[in-house]
Amino acid sequence: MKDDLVLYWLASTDGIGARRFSTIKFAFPDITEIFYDPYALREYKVPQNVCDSLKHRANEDLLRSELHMLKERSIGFVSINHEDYPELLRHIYDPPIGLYVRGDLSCIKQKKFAIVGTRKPTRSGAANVRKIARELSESGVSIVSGMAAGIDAASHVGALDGGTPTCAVLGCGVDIPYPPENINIYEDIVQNGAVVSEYKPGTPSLRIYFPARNRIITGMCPGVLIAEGGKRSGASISANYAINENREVFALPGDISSAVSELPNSLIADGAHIALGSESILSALGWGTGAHDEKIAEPLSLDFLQQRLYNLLLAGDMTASELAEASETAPGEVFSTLTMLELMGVTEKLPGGIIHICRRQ
Amino acid sequence: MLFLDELPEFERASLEALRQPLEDGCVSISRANARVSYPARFVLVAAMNPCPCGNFGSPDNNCRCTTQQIRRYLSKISGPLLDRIDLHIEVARVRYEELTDKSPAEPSSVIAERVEAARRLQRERYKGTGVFCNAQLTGSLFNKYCTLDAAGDALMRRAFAAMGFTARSFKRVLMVARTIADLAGESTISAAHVAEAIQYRALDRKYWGDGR
Repeated sequence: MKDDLVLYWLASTDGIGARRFSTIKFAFPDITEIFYDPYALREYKVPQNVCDSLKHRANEDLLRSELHMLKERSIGFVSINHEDYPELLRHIYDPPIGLYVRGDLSCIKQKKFAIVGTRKPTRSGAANVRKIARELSESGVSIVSGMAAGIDAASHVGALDGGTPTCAVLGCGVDIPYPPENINIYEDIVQNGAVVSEYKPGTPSLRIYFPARNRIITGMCPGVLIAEGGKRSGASISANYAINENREVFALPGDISSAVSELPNSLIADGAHIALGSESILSALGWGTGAHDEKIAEPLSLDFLQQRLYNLLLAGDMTASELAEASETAPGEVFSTLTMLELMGVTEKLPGGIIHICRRQ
Repeated sequence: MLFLDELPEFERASLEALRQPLEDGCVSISRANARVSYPARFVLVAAMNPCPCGNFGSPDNNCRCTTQQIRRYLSKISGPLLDRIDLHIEVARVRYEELTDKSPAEPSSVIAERVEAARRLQRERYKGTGVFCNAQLTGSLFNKYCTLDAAGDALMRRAFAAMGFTARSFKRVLMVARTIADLAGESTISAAHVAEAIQYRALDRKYWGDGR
C-alpha cells in the first residue's frame, strides 16, 4: 500500500483538514496503519461520522479509479510525501495533506517568490508589481500568487511575460478558474506553470478558504512581497503567516495618505525589507543581483510630435485632451500621434482616458 | 437624433432592438399577416458611466464597485451594439479650473461652418448615387471612396491585429477616417486620419476586454 494513496484517501475525505492531519501524522508515524483501522482515530477527537466515511472510502480500487478519473481531467494529486511537493511548504505549522494540480508542479522547483496584495490596486501599484514580477521571472524566479484580480493578476501576467513558470494557488477547486475574468491567465498558467489547490476539484470559491490559501502561498516561498493592501485585509493575513513562518517579508512603499499603502508602509516601519525593485529582492534572498539579461531594447525612433508627447508624459500620466493643451497641438493631431505611440508599444490608454508610458526610451 | 442618457439603465432587449435600424436604417415589424418596414434613419448618441458609482478609472482610484458589479453594469451593452457605434469618447471629470475658465474657445458657429463644408464636399462627391454622407456608404461606393494609401494600409494592418477589430469595426473606422479627411478638406485618406479614427474606437477593448 503506497503512502501516496493513503494520503489521497485522507485528503479527499471531507472532515480531514490540515490541522487534523498534523495530529494524525504525529500519532501514527506509519500512516498506512489507519487505512486498515480508521476508527483508531476516534481517540484523537475525529468525530464518528468522519471515521465512518473514512472507513467507507478505504478501498484501494475506488481510490485508484478516482485518481484515474482526475487524471483524465488533467488534474494531478501531489501528496506531502511526493518529490514535487514544495519543500518549504512541508515544514509549515499546518501543511496541506496534498495539492491538486493543473499544469506541472515539478517545474516550480527552484527559486520561488510570493507576491500578494489587494484586489483593487492603484494604477502605479499594479504596474510596479507587474514589472517586478517580470524581472524576477526573467532571472529564473517562479512567482507564486493567488490569481485574484488586482495585484495577484498583475504578478502572474508579469511572471508569464518573464517566461519562468508561475504558480497560482486557488481558494477553490483547481478546475474552477476563479475569478472568471482571469480565465486567460488561468489557461496560460496551466500551459507554463501550475495551478494548485488543497481543495477537492469542484469546491466552490468561498471567502473562508482564502486565508488558508494565503498560508500556502507564503508557505511555499522563502520570501513574500506585500504589494498593496489595507491594515485589515487578506494581504495582512499573508503578512502574518509570513512573519510566523519566518519568511523574508518585502513591502512595496507607497503614498502615506493612500489606504492601500497602509499595510506595506507599516510593515516597513516594523522592519520589513523595502522593495525598491527586483534587484533589491534578489540580493536580499541571496539570488544574485539582477542576473536577468537586461534586454537591450532597440532605441525608439520618435518623430518630433511623438517625442514631445513622450516628454510630457514622462512627468506623469495625462489624458489626451490635457496633452493637446500642454503641447499646444490640435487634438486631432495628438490623437493620431497617440495611436502611433500605442501601436509602437510606447504608451497605453488606461480607463479614464489616461495615457501612460509603458516602455521607456 | 436619438439621445439615450445612462445607456446601461435601458433594458437589454430594447438596446438590442437598435441593432437593425442602426445597420440598415429601417425597422421591420413582422406580424401574423403582414411584414412592414418603416424607415428609421437617425443619429444615435448615448452617454453612460464607466461603472455604477461612476468613479472607475478616475485618477484617485475611489471606485467602490466590485469587479462583478462593473461587469454586470457593462455587460448590458453587447459587443455587437458597441461595434455599431462609430465614435467612443471618454470624458474625464471636469476640474474646477476648467469650469471657471473664461478664455475664449472655438465658437460653435465656426465648427458648424467646418461641418457644413465637409457635408457639401460629400454631397458633391456622391451626387447621383442616392447617398449623401459617408455613413451611408455601402459595397462598391465604400470600396471606391474609402481607399487607403500604403502608409495608411500598413497602419490599419497593425491596428487590426493589435486592437482586435471586427470586419464591422474595420469598416466603421475607415468611414470615420474618410470623414476626418473631409473635415480637413483632403481628398485622400492619409495615415494620420486613420490613426485619429482609431483613437475613437479604443473603448470597447479597454472596458469590455479581458482585463489584460
